[in-house]
Amino acid sequence: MGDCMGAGKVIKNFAAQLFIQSLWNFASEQKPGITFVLSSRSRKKALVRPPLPTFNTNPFLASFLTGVLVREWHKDGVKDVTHLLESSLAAQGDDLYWRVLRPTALLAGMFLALLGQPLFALGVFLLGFNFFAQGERLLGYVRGFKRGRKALPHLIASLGRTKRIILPVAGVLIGLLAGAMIFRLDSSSFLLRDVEWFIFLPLLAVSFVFAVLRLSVLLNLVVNLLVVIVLGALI
Amino acid sequence: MNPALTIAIMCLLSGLLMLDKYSIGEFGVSQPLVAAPVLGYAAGDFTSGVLLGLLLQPVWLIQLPIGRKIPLDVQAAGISGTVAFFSMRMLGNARFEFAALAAIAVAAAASLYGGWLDGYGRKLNGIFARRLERVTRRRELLFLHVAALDVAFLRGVILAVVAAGAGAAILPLLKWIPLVPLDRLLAATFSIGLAGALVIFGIKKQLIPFFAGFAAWVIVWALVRL
Repeated sequence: MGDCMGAGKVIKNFAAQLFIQSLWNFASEQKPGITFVLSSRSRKKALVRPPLPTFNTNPFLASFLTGVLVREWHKDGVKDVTHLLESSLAAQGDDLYWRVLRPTALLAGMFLALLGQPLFALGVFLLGFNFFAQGERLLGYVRGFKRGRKALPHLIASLGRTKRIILPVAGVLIGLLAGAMIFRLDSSSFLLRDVEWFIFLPLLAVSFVFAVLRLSVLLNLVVNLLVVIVLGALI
Repeated sequence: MNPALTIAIMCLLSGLLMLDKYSIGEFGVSQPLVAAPVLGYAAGDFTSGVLLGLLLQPVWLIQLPIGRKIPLDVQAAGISGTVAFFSMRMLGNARFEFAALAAIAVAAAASLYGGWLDGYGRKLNGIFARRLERVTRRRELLFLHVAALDVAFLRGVILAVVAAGAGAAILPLLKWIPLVPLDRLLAATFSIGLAGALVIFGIKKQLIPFFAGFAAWVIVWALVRL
């Protein structure tokens, strides 16, 4: 494994990281992907396999782990470090990127689309999500390579900080969208012109019960559609 | 453009969009909010695509691909719902509301069998990965990755072809589908997304920001009305 790092290698790592999940499978999970990433930077065109039989972590934080692996490849305990990093990064990364960031960016996009700004909606969602996700994928490698395993507490603190900033934004967006459903604007570009609050609020209450009880969203969808169909026939 | 040719282009585009799920990225372009307008643009009706994306996205807003769990396939739902919608519009000139309600049903079914197809694709990847254990050259590794990308692309195409077929098959049944205005359909799906988001983000922590957002909207609404 090489020890120097330039912009070319960072970009090459980023490009290889894009394919980290393409061969995801139940037996070895992301191992083919991380093999691809590690091998892509091998000068002798040889295959470089990770030191574990299976490998699975958050795809955006795998870049950081790659940096640590490259730096500490020849050190003792690299296997234990890899195992520790992949599990802690999976937990932290999935929580931030899948549970918090993506739904929040989608909520922002949905709000703008409702206001009749579809191109802004797509832009805000794609930029909002990828700024954090692909940004970490690009720069995480540098951080992991420069500081090795010592950078983990700093990274986890940084992810926690990001989450603490995004969560209130998500709450505000949910409030804005709920408000837009009840108090509609009489503007030609606003998509909701005739939605009735006395239909939306009961549906929201029903959906809330479904969400709290962790019942199937598809069952929730059937119930909500039946309600609007029956109400449509009655009103 | 010929509807059959447009649908064929949409099916190929669906394959490319499906690569965003696991295979390349992910960048988020396979989410219904983006995929539906993109497919709508290909069909020559960007605005309907935006509306459909807005309609479908909230239902599958909170599907978390965490660890080994395979959640409901939001990407399959978005792609299938949109292709079914436009095939109904192009082949039978179906009214927006009828086609939208039918598209939601197709999307719901696709989110289930899309998950099954996803599991099958991962099993196929397992076969490639076992072969990888014997591989010694980087070129062979690259070849296996390309094979996995092909599988993902085909999955998107298959989902879209089935959805187009479903759309065509539903066309004669549309006269029995009740007319539900778009606003009510949006209320039905948005309530699922908003409630799900509130619960998954943590109700207690979200209460103050939620009411702040709600109040901000009420102020904007009042100012606009004045």
